[in-house]
Amino acid sequence: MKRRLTLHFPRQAVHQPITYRLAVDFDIAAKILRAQVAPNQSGTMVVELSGDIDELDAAELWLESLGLSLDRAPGEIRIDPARCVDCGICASVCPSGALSSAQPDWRLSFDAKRCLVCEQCIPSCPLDAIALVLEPR
Amino acid sequence: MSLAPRSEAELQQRQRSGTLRVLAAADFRALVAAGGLEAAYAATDVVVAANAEFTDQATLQLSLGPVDPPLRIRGARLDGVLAQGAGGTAGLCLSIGGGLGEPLRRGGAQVLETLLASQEVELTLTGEATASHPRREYRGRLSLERLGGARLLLHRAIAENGVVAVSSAEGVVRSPYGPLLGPYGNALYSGAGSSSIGLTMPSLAWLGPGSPVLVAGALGWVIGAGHGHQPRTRRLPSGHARTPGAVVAVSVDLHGLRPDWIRACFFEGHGSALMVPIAVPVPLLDLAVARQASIGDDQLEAPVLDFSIPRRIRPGFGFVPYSQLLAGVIQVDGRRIPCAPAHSPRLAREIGACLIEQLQKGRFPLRGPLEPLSARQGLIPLEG
Repeated sequence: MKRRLTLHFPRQAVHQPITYRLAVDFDIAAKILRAQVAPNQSGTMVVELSGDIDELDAAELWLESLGLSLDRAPGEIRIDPARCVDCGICASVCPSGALSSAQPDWRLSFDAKRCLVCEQCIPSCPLDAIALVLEPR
Repeated sequence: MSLAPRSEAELQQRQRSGTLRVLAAADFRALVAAGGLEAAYAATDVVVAANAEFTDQATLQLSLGPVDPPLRIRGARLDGVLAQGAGGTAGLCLSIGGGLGEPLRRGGAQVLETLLASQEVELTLTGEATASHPRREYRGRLSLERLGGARLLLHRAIAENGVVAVSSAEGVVRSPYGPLLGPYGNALYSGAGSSSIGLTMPSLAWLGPGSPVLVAGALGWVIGAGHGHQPRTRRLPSGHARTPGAVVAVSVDLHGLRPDWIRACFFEGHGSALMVPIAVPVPLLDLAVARQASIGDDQLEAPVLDFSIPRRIRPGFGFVPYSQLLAGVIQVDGRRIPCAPAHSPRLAREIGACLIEQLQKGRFPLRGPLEPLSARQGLIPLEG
């Protein structure tokens, strides 16, 4: 499974080879989505971790043991109304029903509270109207 | 209440006098439901039907000005997208599809979108040197304003009916209509049902070479039968097609297209495409035409096809009524499958409203085709 985390590095943990240790010790692939880390400064990294669920839990504990603080907010789906044509393709692949459209106006409706942030809708949109926002409002 | 047939000339006279009575297809059906077919026919001259569908079956035809010294075009790229010389020094043809290779996610659709946004594209030309056309290469920039002629040719601009795509396979199938979750996880349907052009006007009877249509805000012209034209398809007793059926091709000048209506898009695993809203007038010339335009979604149907089987004739699961499709769930072989329109009912409604206004104000020509559509079946399989 995949899990998206924002890692906040204290200054003393910046030198740790985090992604290497995740791969070797936990068999977890860490995809770095965004990072701002510099020597001898605190830093932030947004990563998508892929691996076994038990290993993911163990890896989170290990990261916290190093002094990192973890933000588990997964980001949120955002729809650009200027690009959306209300075709409904995204709604057909949405497992939670957060995206829907119906007669008579066929306007796409998004219920953020029901969204699982599974991201299946993002590549389904032919208009590139759906994006994942990592820093929700 | 007059139920007499009307001639094209009578309707044109009403348009000139500003008394043409025009309704959207959905509103005409509501009028029929409320007061009966005869009363609705007597009160309506023209019904407007509209589609807004995705297509990659289209070509850009561009006319360039001459370069100096002259270059006879043999190869061309626009923003890296491959184009073909159309003969001589001026003509270029560019497919709307593409984008699965280099340049990634960019095909002719994205080039069109760039041009319509009043931005420039990079143009490279290669030629074969001859005595009268000695230049071998050209590199420059091109904008819509600097194109002497630019047309969009829609090879399947309007089809009579759509299809419903499902997948019986495990995993995701990337179809031209969008991702299909299998097995039987979702269904995507391309036709809009009773408000669509082909199910308001069976056989596309009033369309043929020379018929005007409204394409993304611009006046387009039917140039004849389009790709996959199958006029002798299976039909309901009412005359409505049960499969895609008749197809028309349309040509439209790029300079009139509205970029908020015609959109470039990209289907994962399939490539670039365009969203194209089109609206046409359906003159109610007699009660029979009005009756065909009044048939409801519960009586119209579309074929359900298995897009996980990549064969010329895809296995089918029979037909489903549009009333089920529009309600969001279809029943196929005892399974309930959630479905969604792989088109834009909203854009179709918007361009339909635009055409109604243009017809009422006399800004859109109301005229029939110069000749009927070809009766020849278009899908002749290639063997081997």
